[in-house]
Amino acid sequence: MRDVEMCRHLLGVKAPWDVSQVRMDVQSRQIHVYLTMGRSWFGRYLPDQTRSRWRHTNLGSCQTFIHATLPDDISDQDRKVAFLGESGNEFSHGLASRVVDCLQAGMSYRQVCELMGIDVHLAWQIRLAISEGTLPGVAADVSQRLKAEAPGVARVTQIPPGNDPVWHNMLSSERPMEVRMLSLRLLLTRCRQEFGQLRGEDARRLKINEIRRFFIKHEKQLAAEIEQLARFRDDASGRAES
Amino acid sequence: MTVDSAGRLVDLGEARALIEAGATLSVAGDAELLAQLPKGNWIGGSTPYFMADDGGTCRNDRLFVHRFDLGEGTIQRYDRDSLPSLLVDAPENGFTLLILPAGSGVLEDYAHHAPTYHDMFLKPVAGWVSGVRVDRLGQDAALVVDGRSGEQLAQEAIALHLALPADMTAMVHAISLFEPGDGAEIEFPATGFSATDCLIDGRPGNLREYMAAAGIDQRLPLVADYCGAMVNVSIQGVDEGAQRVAFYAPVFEGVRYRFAKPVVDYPERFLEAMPSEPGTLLFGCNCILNYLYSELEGRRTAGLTGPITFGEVAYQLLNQTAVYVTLEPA
Repeated sequence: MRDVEMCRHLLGVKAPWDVSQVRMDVQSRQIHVYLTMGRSWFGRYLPDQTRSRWRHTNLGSCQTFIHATLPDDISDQDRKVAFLGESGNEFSHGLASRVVDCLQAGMSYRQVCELMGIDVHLAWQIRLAISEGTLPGVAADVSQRLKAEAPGVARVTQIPPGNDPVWHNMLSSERPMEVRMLSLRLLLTRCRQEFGQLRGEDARRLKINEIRRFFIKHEKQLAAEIEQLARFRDDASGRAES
Repeated sequence: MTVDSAGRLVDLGEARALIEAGATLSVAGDAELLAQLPKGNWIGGSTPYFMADDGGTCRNDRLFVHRFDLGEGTIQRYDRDSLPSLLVDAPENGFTLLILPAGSGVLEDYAHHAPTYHDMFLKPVAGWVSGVRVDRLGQDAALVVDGRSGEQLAQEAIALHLALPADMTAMVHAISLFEPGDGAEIEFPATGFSATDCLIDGRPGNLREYMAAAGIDQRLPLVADYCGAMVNVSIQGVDEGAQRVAFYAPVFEGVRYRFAKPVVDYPERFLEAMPSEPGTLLFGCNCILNYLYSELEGRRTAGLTGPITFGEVAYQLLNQTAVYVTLEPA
């Protein structure tokens, strides 16, 4: 209870939200915080909820992740609190705001990412949000400076960004993939079964985030599978309904 | 072929000594023998069947012990309410070993809903379903044991969550020798442990009637192809009156199944299927139906040892499958 109480205060969680569970992963120095809105996160049977997972600002030297399900009827005001994020994004409003503050204070994007421990995948997503103007309070000169800054971090990984059509096409296709890991075979099968039935772009983005997170976690072991992703880039079969 | 396995068959004295020395263990054995073990950092499950170094065996005077030299880990019990948070409790980089008692509500829930649990497939989970001697089915209860207290539980699952160093990763593998046969493609209208009506090659029909007409051997499982992974669902029995077929694991709505082709000479085929250098084995188990139908008593399975189980967990519940976990560079 003490952990839950402390996290509630540190993160500024207020009603209707509450902290349901906190887990500290000592090995990876990560804190995972599970939020609820009036009912328990885990019950005997959970229908397949679309759950978001956002990287938030660090607590001490620990990376902090917030897990929550955004209800459809949430008000704009409740949706914009710092510890939440957009349902399809992987960063919280609070983290985005801190990144923008640092950039506006004159730091380079690379410095900001290093300071906050933001990996290349998340760095790409935040950078895209800034350049597309979807983050509030970004001064024009910051956006320009970011465009001028060398791509750097975003080029290190072979895993396509979340908005690359390969993910959508892979999940809406029945085209076989040569997959060696049992976990990816099972995950890909389940994601493909569910993907076509998902309503709304947010739900599809969450499913893409889930499988993309698997690729990020196992990037070193999935060289052959990552190479195959490119085959889905020009596969238009899955894009008709998006 | 030699396999570097962390597990072996031991007597009560040796198991006691390991526990008293503070080892982190998973222990399989007869329930009466498990009850004689001291309290410690271990989890257990009931089964008197094992794949030992010298082959399959059924013994009530031996225990199969997997020892984990990866730190203490965290032992956690799960009831039907807490089971969906199984992998929330698991470390970001680690391995969870889960034991569920046969015939329990937690097993039913896991079988139905595990694929939708938070972080499923992202964090490695393997394990097994505990049971009893087949001649005691319906009389004795399958149990799991919380070694910290020695409590034997018939309606809860027990898990050992182990964190791994950042440079190591756990890989869960499943070996099924069954392949889809040439018979009809079968789809079920709902997820469940039994079925009557279904689609048979796209046409409405009754599964029991199809099995009778096609001369299906009930020892052969239904097989589904999950992107190259063969997932089996074994036949538990047929209720002729109710025209209903019962399964040991649920069939899932939206998945296409076929009855398997027969497997001739299981140990020989298993040897072919097992990698020649599987690496460091953390855990292994094989199915009681493979033990019985393929007559594995006294026969070896490519050096893969472990408990003989009443259902296998490689992320989701599987049947007639051997499961093993290796430790590999991240």
